[in-house]
Amino acid sequence: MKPLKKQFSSRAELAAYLQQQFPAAVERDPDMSPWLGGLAEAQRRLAEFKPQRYAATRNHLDGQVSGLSPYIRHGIFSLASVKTRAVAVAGSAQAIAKFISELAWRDYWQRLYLQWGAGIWQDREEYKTGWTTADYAAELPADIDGGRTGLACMDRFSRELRSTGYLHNHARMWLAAYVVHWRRVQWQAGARWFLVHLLDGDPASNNLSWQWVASTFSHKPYVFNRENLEKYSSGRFCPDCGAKTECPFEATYPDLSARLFQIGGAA
Amino acid sequence: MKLAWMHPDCLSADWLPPGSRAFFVFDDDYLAACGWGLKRIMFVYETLLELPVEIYRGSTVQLLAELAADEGVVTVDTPDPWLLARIAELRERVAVDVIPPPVFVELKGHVNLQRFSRYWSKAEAKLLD
Repeated sequence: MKPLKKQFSSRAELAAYLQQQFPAAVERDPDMSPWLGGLAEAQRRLAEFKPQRYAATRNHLDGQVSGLSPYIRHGIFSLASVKTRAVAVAGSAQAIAKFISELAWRDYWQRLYLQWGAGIWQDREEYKTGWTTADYAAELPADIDGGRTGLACMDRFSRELRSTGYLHNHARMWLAAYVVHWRRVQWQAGARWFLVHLLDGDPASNNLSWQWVASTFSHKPYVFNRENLEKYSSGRFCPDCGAKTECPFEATYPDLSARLFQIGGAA
Repeated sequence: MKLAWMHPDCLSADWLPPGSRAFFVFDDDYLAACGWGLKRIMFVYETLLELPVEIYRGSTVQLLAELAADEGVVTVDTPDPWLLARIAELRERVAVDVIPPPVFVELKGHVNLQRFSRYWSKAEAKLLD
């Protein structure tokens, strides 16, 4: 059997070769990402990352995040090597405690993966929303996948996911909460969708984070409101949103709980 | 010398024995099970282009068993059940050494993983020391 080709004159030539070699994968997702694979690109991103600024800015879409998750997911960098480098830049581990705790989340998910295996696809606990699994749709609605919900924020996240293979963590949480709680779709449908597109898609990190949002692996469902989304996105979506006068996220948290769930308790 | 199987969780020359002849296999069964599309394949492929690794397409176990012959295979441990099943199948045909991946934090004794907070209560002091 002959090995696959390793010499290409351009990304376009590589893409054309891969399209020919992997037609079934192209059917699942035909897009190319602007994100480059490889150690050199990972090293460039690591050199640019300022871990001291991470804790204060990480929740903002324009915040200082590392963008290293695809490289960590595939072992291009180990968690330990990223931590060592970040500590060297910051001067101490204490100075970047939040960043290290986020690296630890991946370690935690991997330990659970080893324990549960394919069980990460099952609801680990009941939904704490007052609804049962049967109340949630099994398939992802086409308007979400297609970025045609009419909600500027969610449509932007959906299109960004498809075109780049990356989403800021806060955008992932907002989008996941919208899918599960506003559209009442089983988290598994959203998790499968993310795994097709995310370059850092790891079954454990992805599925268990969806379960955390859904409340099948947390004490309460994660929800957000318009104020929260506007604050951490500098209000960039609302001005051009066709649904701005009927925004489903415009409410207090108690009101959202009453509207979305059969029992209270979200925050 | 044993063949080094570089699978999608360990795309680095650092994780495998120096000087070993390394292989990566794009297995349609894995790609379908994981739902990978072009974006992901391209990302992984670009990474492989920088590495001293031969890239194949086919059935992982069949291919590695044929390539390894009597020399055996060395690879890196993973929690991925699909990859673990292939390691188990491969072991029925050739000798397989599984190397532990780099450790992030060494936690001794029972680690309660019921919630991140319980894991973190054990890991924090070691990680922030």
